[in-house]
Amino acid sequence: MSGEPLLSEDELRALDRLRITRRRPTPTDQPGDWRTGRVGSGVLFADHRDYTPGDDLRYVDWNVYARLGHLVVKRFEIEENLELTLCVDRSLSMAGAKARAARRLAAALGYIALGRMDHVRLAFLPTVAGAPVELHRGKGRAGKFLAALEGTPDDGATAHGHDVARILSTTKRRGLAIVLSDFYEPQNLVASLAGLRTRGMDVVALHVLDTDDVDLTLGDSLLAVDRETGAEVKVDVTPTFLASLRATWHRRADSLERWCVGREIRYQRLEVHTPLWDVLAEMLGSGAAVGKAT
Amino acid sequence: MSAVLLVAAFVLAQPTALWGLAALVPIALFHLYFRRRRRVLVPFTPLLLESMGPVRREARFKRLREAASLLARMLALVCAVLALGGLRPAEAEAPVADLFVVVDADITTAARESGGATRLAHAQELARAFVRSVPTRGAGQLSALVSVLVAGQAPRLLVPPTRDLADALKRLEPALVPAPAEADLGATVALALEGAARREAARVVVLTARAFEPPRTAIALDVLGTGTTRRDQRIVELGVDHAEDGGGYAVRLAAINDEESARTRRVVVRVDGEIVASEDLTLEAGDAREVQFEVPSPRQAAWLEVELEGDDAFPGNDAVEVRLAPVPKPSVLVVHSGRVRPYVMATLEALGAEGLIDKDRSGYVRASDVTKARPRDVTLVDGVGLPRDALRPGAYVFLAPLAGALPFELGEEVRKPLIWRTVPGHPLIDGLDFRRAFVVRGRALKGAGLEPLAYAEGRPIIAEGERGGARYVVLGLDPEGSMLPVQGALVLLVRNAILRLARAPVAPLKPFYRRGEALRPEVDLPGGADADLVWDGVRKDALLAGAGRGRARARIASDGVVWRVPAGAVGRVRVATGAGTAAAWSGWTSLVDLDPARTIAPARPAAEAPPAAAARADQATRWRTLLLALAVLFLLLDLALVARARSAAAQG
Repeated sequence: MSGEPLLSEDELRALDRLRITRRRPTPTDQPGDWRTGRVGSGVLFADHRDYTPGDDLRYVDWNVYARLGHLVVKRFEIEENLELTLCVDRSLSMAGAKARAARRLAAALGYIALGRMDHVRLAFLPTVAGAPVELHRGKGRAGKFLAALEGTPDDGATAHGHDVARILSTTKRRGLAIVLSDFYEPQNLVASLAGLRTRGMDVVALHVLDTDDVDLTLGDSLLAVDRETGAEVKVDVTPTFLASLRATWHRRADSLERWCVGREIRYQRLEVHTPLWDVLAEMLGSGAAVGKAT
Repeated sequence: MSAVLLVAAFVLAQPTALWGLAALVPIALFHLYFRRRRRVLVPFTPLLLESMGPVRREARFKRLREAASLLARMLALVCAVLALGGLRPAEAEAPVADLFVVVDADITTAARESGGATRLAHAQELARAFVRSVPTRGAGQLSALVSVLVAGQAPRLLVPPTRDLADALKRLEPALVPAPAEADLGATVALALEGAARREAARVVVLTARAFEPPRTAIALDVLGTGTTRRDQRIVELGVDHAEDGGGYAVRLAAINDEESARTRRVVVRVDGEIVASEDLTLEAGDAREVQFEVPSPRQAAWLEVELEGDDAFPGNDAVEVRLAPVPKPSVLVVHSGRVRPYVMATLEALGAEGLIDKDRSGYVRASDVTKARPRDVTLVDGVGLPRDALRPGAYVFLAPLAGALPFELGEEVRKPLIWRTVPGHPLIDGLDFRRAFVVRGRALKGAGLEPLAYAEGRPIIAEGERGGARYVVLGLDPEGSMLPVQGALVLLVRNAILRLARAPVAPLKPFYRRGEALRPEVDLPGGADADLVWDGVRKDALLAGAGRGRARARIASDGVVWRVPAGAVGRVRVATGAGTAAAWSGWTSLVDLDPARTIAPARPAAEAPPAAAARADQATRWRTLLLALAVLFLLLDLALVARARSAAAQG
């Protein structure tokens, strides 16, 4: 990894103004800042309802009784902490600009979540041996969180389906899962997303795209070696081939996007050369996992 | 093998230039280095494979284009190197063989081909083409010696060995003339081969349409055809004999059609220019036919011409001319002892009735009065002895001769002979059969100049001969008491003897003589044996000098010293003897050259004229230009391929 920190101090300060959003609440055991929308023992007033015997008298609204002579109880919205699972693709196909871009965005998202006292579960695809998931909570863990992101090397081949299964085996909670990957999955393009969605998680797919992947020099005769598998392919870069390659590349992204939309998975493209703040602004605009702090 | 032959077919003037081919190595390495497959790491090869499917063919074309580009570049270099090295065909560098051309000028080369030109003219044009086919070294100098020989009746050197092209063509310019008879092609070819054997490398080209078996030789020898036409009908045989009735001539003619289709020619017989007979003669392809005509005896000697009227390619064998002598009607004087024997009288009566003798001028005389009688063409002495001074130069028939003046001697008596032998084929005794004859007696004959014709018991009994100007036929048999067969044979013998002795002085020469035939007269020529012969055709020994009229001096005698008709001697011939003397005599006959084997039918296909050779210097320049042009062409092709590739890259 580059010696330069993933996020500068200025960037960290700016991130404090953002929060993680999610499309729908998911039940957690840990009350926190996240409004779940469910009525329960939270602190945010929701509405009133008629008193029924057995209701906790602490929740009787005496002011209303004083004015109306009618017993009603106050209802409160349950607030709980967000459990954010960041799945960062560290396969060799991501090596380079894609890996850095993905990790910078993951760092930003994780930092935002930690700043809101949310749980951040950091997982790599492929998973790191022995510790498939690192759990972080609170700003105090931000340093370790960022260090883990920076220090974990790119390695291994993409097998998202298998890796996601391992990650999910470490928790039964649902939450927000953000997958940052180029989705160069030879077996099943959507294996990771499908696994997370099946668990009932709110899933965001951040498709890391690098045009360098399809930027071959016309006229070249190449022996293309797969970074992950070592497979070799003889390639003669002709105009038609180049056009076909680019079309295929776009088609795969479009295909993935269509698949996500059909399954209520938020999909966002992350062009590696796009500045981080532009990406966050785009996510802010589309409501894909990022929102302004209240 | 073909590659080896291809390499052997070319040579280099500057072989060191081939070192330039070493530049092929960096070109190939450069190409291989820049066109090698660069190893690159890619994130996801399935993406490439998925994109590759529909464009594999284009990729193959790209590789092909790159290979074509390399090939064009290398070929450009090879062409440039070969051009600098002075590549040229080996034949342009190899020593050119000296050329000896033999043109057959046989009499048959007078045949006109379909284009109208004679076969000899075509052969002459071929000879010119062969001379032009020898490469030049510039300035009209040939790279090899050329020589042209003409095969006439004797070999002739038309173009002596030379390298001067203009001189050779100039000598070949005048039209050649066919030989009057068969050309001696073998001798001419042998002469050419002898000349070629002295050269380091030589080639002999024989231009002839005739069948010719070339001699075995190590020298390159080509026999090439010069004509195609077979359109010829020809007279191959002629016979002129006295008609059986003795009143004229029987003319027999054989003709052959060499054409490949049937043809009708009209046979016209003329005597001194006037047509006396004619007949259409239809000859199938390759057919030979014979026709016969009866020609009445002319009053005086005349020329008889037989001609195949109509057109063909070779008129030289369509007509023959012979000399006809008038059939003589001799007068006969019978010398008897006082009584003419009846069978003699009957014989003369019969000959007179047939018009074979001049009956009015004939007569009978006693032996004692013979000196007083007017001389006749033939004197028949019938069993009587002539007075001593009665034997004069002239013709005599002796029947049962007795003592007296005789041009021969009498031998012993032969009685009742049983064993007979005759000289076969002699016209005098033709038709006589003595085997069953009974003869009571006879007398053997002998003497200088006597030629026996029949023998009885081994002794000459019938003979002919000449002594002291007296030509005679003698029958040493006494017809008296003999059997009728003998008497019957005697009549024939007397008739034959009278006619033979009578004709000889009038026409001592035959109507015609063939080439190679002995010009032997029936009797010695009246003016003596030393003769001057003059004819219209050329004479063999005059051919080398290019002379025209034939002339010869020879001893023409019936005793064996003869003159043979040489080849090329054809047409009318005048024979003169006794020039400057009182006995001066001259007569005519004809020399004909009939050869059934002489045909214009070509023995081989006509050859095509070889192309004129370019000058060697021009050839080298032409090859250099060609190679340089090819080099430029290949470079342009390479540039076009590269430009196309770059254009495609720019569009991408």
